[in-house]
Amino acid sequence: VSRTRRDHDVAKTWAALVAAPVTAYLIGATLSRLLPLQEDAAFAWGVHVIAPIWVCLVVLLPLARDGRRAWAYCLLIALPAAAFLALHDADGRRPTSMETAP
Amino acid sequence: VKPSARTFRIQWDVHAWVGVVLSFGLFIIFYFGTFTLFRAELSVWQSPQFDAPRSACSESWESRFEAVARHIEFPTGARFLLAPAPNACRVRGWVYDAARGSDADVVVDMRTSERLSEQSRLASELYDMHFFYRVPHGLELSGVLALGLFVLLVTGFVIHIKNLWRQRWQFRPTLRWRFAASDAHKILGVFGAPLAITFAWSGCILGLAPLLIPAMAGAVYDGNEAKVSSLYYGPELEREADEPYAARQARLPFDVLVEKARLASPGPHAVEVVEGDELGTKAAYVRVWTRTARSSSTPQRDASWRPRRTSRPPHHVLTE
Repeated sequence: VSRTRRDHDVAKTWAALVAAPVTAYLIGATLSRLLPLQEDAAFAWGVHVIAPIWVCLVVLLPLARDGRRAWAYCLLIALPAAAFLALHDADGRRPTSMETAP
Repeated sequence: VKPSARTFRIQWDVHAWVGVVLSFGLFIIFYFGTFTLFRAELSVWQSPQFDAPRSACSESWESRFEAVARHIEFPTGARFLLAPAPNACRVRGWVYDAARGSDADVVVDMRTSERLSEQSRLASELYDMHFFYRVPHGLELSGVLALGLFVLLVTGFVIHIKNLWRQRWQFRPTLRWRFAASDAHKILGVFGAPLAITFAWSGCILGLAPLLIPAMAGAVYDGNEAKVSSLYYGPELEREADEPYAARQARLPFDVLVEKARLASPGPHAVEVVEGDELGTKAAYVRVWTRTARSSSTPQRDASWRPRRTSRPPHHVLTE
């Protein structure tokens, strides 16, 4: 397979279209659960990193050597995040800054 | 900084393809966005036959409610809205009956309490087109388009970075059309980047909300979308427990409710819209939408304004 052919691998395009948003969302959700901040601050960080990460992945995934690697990079990030979210329920949530305000 | 030939080629392809696929949708958003900037002015211009000095009519919210209620029914549990025109003696009433899934609206002349004929919807339709509100999932589509704009900005920066300084102000209209257009594209891209970043970011945050809220609720908040919505847009109304509502037999006059809201939110706020829900039930409430008063008398809201599924007021205050 030529280098040009690999650079235009359809699997890379699908990774940028499908895997990138899912991965970005899982990172954001994990951050909002994981960050040692009050609930509203953790949510704000989590939800506001989704779009930049999504954009970064769309830009960077086409630079992968081939489509299989592009998907692998996404899975490498997404699977641990998904596992973390699946294993940790929402119990024991931190209070919001409004709830702790004097 | 100079990206490798491979990086340049791939980023150029991404930039070109994303641009080709999304540019038409982005053009629609930007084109109608220019009209959206002048929405208030257009709403005044589009229906001159309704204009009359606001001082000629009653400023009572109860009178406005009664004038509207003469023409459309307010069923129990209805959601409703009263929006006086900013510079005219008319009020628009809107009622949504959740049980039937139907809504009705009317524009009433406050001098005669007569229903006015249909007014032009030009301003609100142009506004709706700014984010494809008439298209199914149009808001989400506009969010994805905004994200695409972000991708265009990043890939364009990577492509252009090696020549950024040399071509920062290079425009050669005497060359062939293709080169002149390329120069213009680069200059507008570079100098418009701060604005474009702002558009892309705000578009992502507003447009992707209908996707992100249920997704975040499902993953992190046990499906509690109301909670995620309050985290996303700001805290919801701090409603009292049901008991005080059950004890109240009759609602307070709207003027009293609005005054309570004004006192609860001190400052030079002009009350623009009164919105209510659960009318006639123990959970009834009104939400008073205000805008900080300006020295200019330029109207900021038109009578055809209505709340949107993801919009939030600049200030909201609970009254019972």
